[in-house]
Amino acid sequence: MLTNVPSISAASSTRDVYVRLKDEPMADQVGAVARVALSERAPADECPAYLAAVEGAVAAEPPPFGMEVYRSVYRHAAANPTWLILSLVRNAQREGQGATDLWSLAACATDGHEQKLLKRHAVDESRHAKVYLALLDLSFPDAVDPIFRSEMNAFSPDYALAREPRPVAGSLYAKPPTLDDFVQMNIAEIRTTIHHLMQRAALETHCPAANLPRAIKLLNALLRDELSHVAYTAVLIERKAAALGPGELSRLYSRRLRDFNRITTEEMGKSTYD
Amino acid sequence: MTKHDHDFDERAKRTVTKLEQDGQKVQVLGRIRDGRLEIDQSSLKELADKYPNTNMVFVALNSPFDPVPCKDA
Repeated sequence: MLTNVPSISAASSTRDVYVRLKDEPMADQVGAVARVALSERAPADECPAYLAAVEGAVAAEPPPFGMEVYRSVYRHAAANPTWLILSLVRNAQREGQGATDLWSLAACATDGHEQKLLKRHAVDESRHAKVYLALLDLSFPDAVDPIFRSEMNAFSPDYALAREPRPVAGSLYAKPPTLDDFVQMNIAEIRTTIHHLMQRAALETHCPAANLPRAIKLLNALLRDELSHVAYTAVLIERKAAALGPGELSRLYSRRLRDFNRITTEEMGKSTYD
Repeated sequence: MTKHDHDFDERAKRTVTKLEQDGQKVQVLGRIRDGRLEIDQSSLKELADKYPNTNMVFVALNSPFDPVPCKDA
């Protein structure tokens, strides 16, 4: 139950948040990420309708990424250095791609506040593409062919707050953002935060001791950003849901969690959860 | 710590230790072509049957995953 997940004060350090989240049972981790993300805002936001929707959706549609087997599969795979290297590279690429979707949404937002938040989010993800590559360099020095590695720098679209967002050509997200979009982003960011917790444990195992403090600093910044993204989308969901009828937000959140569960399960291969 | 967690930690330590003892570097080769990531086949071969596909699994997603509006929205 979400209500049993303890909150963390806004004054807590990112390291404290990490320790608290990673020790949560997997079954509680989706709710814990949502609740901790909101408690880390200053001042903290409560978002009762949002949290009730998350709680109901998790109970009705248990997410694969909230199951112990999901973490076990990751741990098994991440013990292999080559697999983890490729996973970091793929994450860098996906962060860059996601940044372009968010940039297009920001460009088309008619609400100035939402545009500002989406633009900030796109800039964060653009930076995250570089952070994943920095984690690759720190954790596996000289593991990647230098020419190949230099080509990866193009993963980041290099967005900056000083730039004016423009819709990216061909983007399916060159449209004004809706409540549905923010619900999807919120669910996806919760899964990304859970991935981060798993990646961190694996990288701490592989990273040379001399590089570990720098890697931890980057990982702390990543976690802080991911929680911030979960929180701001939660606040927007709460505000937009005020115009909905009873139960509508819960139905939407459950429907989108079910969709995302299907995507996640298909990615993993159904046999994993049989 | 579960038995699986312990086994994982031991495996990871053994892997790293062996790499260090052998003086080996993990070399990953590939290229970016037309914006697409292409990893060379020898890097992928040993992983293909043992591990989840890194193209698909455990990847970050931060934007909406379905551009088609939900009818419940």
